[in-house]
Amino acid sequence: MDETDLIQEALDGNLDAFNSLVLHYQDLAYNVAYRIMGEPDAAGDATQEAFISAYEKLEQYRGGSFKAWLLRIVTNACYDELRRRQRQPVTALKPELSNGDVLEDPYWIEDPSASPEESIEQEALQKAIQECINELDDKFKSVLVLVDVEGLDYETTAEAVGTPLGTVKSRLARAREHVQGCLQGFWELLPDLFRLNDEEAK
Amino acid sequence: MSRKKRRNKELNMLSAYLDDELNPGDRKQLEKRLDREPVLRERLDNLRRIKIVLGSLTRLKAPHNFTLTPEMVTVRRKKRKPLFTFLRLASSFAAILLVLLVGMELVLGGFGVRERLMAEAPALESDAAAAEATPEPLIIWGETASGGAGQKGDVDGYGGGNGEESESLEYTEPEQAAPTEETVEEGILSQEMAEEERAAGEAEEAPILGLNPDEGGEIVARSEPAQQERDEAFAWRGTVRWIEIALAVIAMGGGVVLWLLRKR
Repeated sequence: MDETDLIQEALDGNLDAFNSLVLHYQDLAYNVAYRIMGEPDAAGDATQEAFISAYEKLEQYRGGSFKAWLLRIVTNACYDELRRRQRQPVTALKPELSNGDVLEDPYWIEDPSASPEESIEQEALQKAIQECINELDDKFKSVLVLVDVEGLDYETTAEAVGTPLGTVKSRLARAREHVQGCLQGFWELLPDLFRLNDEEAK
Repeated sequence: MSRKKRRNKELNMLSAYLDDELNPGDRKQLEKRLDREPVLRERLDNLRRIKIVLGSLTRLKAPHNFTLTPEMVTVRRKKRKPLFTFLRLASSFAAILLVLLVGMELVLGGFGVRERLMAEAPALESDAAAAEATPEPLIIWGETASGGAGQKGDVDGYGGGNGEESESLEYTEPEQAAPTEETVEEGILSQEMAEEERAAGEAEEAPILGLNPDEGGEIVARSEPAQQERDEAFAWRGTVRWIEIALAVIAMGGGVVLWLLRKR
């Protein structure tokens, strides 16, 4: 059963059909929410809210890219959650050392396949990138996440964030420039793979 | 154009160039500039690095399934189109009516029409045959009595005779005598008796069995009411048949259209 049929089934009251769509898109939705929110619990809440909202607003879907329509709901849910958290600040649960100091690195759940050194480097880099994304204004953040993190094209991104194509281009350029400036402080963390030589740049 | 604006424009073009979103003209122009401006190329390289770094971010899997349960949302009821609902109701109603009608016809034998017609048909045929075989009227006015017992005599009444000759109706005037009180009373009584007899005679001359003697008094078995009833029965049966056909068309047509709508 293709996407259109599942949507129609869901509109006819078949919750299982909608849940098939949820299972198909939940990783993407959670990733986008996590990169926008920067925190797993908040991302989980926003993702769940987004799927509930998507089901309730399914009549408003007027064809076109369902992925873009869903991602718009996800980004809006993230903005709502961010605003709610700004009004009622939530203290993140962080692991504490025996002396009471809080670990700076939030990625305390380590990947068992990586060596301890690699794991620390990876976590540090991921954290640095995420912090740079977090510094961005919401409207720049969503465009950067959708295009550079999730690899969506400009058209789908424009549909997802509800802005013209030109706005997407300019927001993306400014967001990239901001992250570039932000990451300069962490440049030593970047592995050789990301350090392009002049020939590759051409 | 201010320096800041020019710089922003260059940044937008470089970013779009990275994603291959520039039109061919702008792309060609930018590539010429990149060849002769190392600073611009350096900016492009930095943007490219950022794009690669961002793309290297770990793809996270959802920590759990975000599937919905009926408790989380109000499961919508299936919305049916008005035409769909109308057709469904109409065809169902027509089918039920058709079944009832056919069932009643089977159980009641076509509302008793068939049996009545079958029972009447031989009777009517025998009546007609009898009428042809014995052209004598059943009731004849003004000739002989048709009474069950009496055949003899010249009687005005119907079936009153018993075979004896009736007395002469000649009336002789009684001798005139001086009227006494007795004779006066007898006279009054005889007048009253005469009036009663006259009234009885008039009553006997009145039409019987709803027949009009003015028509000539000759009635042979009439078949008009039976014919009329038979015509009505046929008409009623024809109407029922047409209703059954119409119901069958509605039920089957509705079903076909519903099936086509569902398939679409």
